[in-house]
Order: sequence, then C-alpha cells, then structure tokens
Amino acid sequence: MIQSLRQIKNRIKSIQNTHKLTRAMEMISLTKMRSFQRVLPAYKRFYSKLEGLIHDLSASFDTAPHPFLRQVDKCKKVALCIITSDTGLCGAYNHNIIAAAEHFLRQDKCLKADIIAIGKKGFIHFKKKGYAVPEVYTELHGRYSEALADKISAKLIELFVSGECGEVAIAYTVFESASRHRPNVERFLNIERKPGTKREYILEPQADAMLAELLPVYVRNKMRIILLNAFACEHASRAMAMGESTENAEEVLNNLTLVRNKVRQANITKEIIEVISSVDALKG
Amino acid sequence: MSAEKLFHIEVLSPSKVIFEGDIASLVVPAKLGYLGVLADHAPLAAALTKGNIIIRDSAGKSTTLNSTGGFLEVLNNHVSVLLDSSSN
Repeated sequence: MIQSLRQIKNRIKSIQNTHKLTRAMEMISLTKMRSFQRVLPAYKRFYSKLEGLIHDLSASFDTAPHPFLRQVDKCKKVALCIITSDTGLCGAYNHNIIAAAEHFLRQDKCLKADIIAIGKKGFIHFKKKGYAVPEVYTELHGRYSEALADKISAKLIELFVSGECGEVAIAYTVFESASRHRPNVERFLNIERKPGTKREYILEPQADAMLAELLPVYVRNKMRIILLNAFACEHASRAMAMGESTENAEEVLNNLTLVRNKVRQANITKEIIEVISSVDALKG
Repeated sequence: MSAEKLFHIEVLSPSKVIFEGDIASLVVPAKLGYLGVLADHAPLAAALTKGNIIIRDSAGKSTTLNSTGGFLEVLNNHVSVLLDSSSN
C-alpha cells in the first residue's frame, strides 16, 4: 500500500524522537557504567586484603565459633537474594540472572526458599511463581549508595544469625568487562573457611575479638562489591541495548527517507501529468 | 637520604587508595592505645579506632591521616591499613 506523504513524514518524526531518546539513554547508561567501573578495582583491593587477613588469622589461631561461620543448615529454608533491574530496556540482563537463580533453586528438590528481591523485575517474577518474598527493595534504578548496601547486608545477616534461614545465597551478575557479564549465584552466608597461611601474628585484641570485628566489615564490603557489580552490569546492558536500538532507528530512518522521496517524486510526476493532460484537454 | 630502613605502606578505604608509598615510621591508633611501627616489625594484626594515623617518610616529613576505625596488618615490611568507618 502506498502511504500518503503526510503519514510517512509523521512516522519519520516519531522515529527521530525515538532515536534521540535511545541515544540519550545509551549515553547516560554508559556514563553511569564507567563511574562504577572506575571505583570497582579499589573496592576489590580493599576486599581481597580483608579476606586474606581473615583467612590467615583463622588459619593461625583456634578461634571460638562466630555466628557467621556457622555451618549451613540444609534442613532449613534458604534465603535467596536476587539483584535485577527495576525497569526493562536492558536486553537479556534480567532474563539471564533470573534463569541462573531458577537453576539454583531447582538443584535442591526439597529446598524451601525465601526470595529477597532487589529490583522490581525479580520481585514480579518470583511473586508470580508463588515464592515467599518477605523483603523487597525497589526504585533503586541502579543508583548505588553505601547506606543501601549496608542496609541490605544487615537484613541478610539478621536472617542468617537469627536462624530463620539455614543459608543465604545471592544471585547477581558479575561485571567482567563492559561487554562480558556473568550471571552468578553464590553463597553469601555462612562464610566458608578457606585455607590461609599460618603465621605467628602478634594480635591486638585477641583472635576472637579480632574476628568478631573483621567479619561484619568483610560481609558489608562483600555486599557493596556485589551491588556495584550488578549495577555496573545493568547499566552496561542498557547501554548496549539502547545502542542497538539507536542503530535500528537509524536504519529505519534511512529507509523511510527513501520512501518519502520516492512518494514525493511520484506525487510531483502525477501532478505534472494532470496539468499536462488538462492542458491537452483544453486545447481539445 | 637517611640510613633509616623503609617499609611499604598502603592505606585503603573501601572505595579508594588513601596513601601508598615507602615510609620510615608509622603510628596508628589501635584499640588498646597508640602503636608505633618501624621497619622489620614482627607480623602484627590490630584493630584500629578513631584517631590520627601519623606517617613519617624518609625525609622526616610527616603526614597525618584521620582514622575512623579499621584494621592494621604488618607483614614482612609490608603494612596494610584498612579503614572502614562502619567497623566501630
């Protein structure tokens, strides 16, 4: 069907608007992603130092059991914290992480799980599936703050330490590079003991007190890194998705412009033919 | 250059590197009182509290940093100070 010139012009205008919008979203997401990308190495450095210290200390001293080191209780329900985005338009980001979380939940048949949802998409998905979602954090839109990370980790710690949940797992996307994101489900609590190096440390205060101070800081920083990773991935995915739609829009615009020119040309030709034929008719 | 032996230090907060370099001496506010570190110190781990961290370099110039609490690890002439304001 040949569209009228006006219709085509309207379409071009609306696609130009979409093009502007997706481009702006791409730029915004790129900038946000870069700002996360900049701070991540420092967070990781601090975290790995802390981790090394904890494992070396637990290898060097016999410490009293700390609540965070308590064995995982497979009979109790598991709390799964899942980080998704609030809004769509970010490619396969949400789909991938939800698939990874579901895979984790299927692994253990008898598993009863509570979902702690960070981000609306995960919340909606698991609510629909009939999971209990006792805690939801939404309207974050990939905005990171330490206060937020600390609030979430405090909640997860409470769930584990109170004995309500036998294990706390967390599903998030690991930011490997701007274009490589890996959905990952890992244990958040308890803290597994890894082999450390045995050293003759002088301690101040004693080992138990030292660990009791170190562990909460460690868990808090773990949460911060996880959130930063997830948010960086969200922005990177959105930048990528929006980049693609911007390209798409450009392609559609090119095609439409061609059609518009053709139609205009046809109209002109038609009008000339009409004028000529009417002149011919008048000449009779 | 003085003949003083130097050691490496890194002062980190969760989000950034605050100080890094080779220094001659260090004083930190540990939980049980201020604590001095020179080169070749035995392995040490300590919890820190609020106070001033005083770093002196080979030229005798000292830098004062504010500690909000955190941890200190001394190991083979490598000192890590991990500052975390929420650790108190």
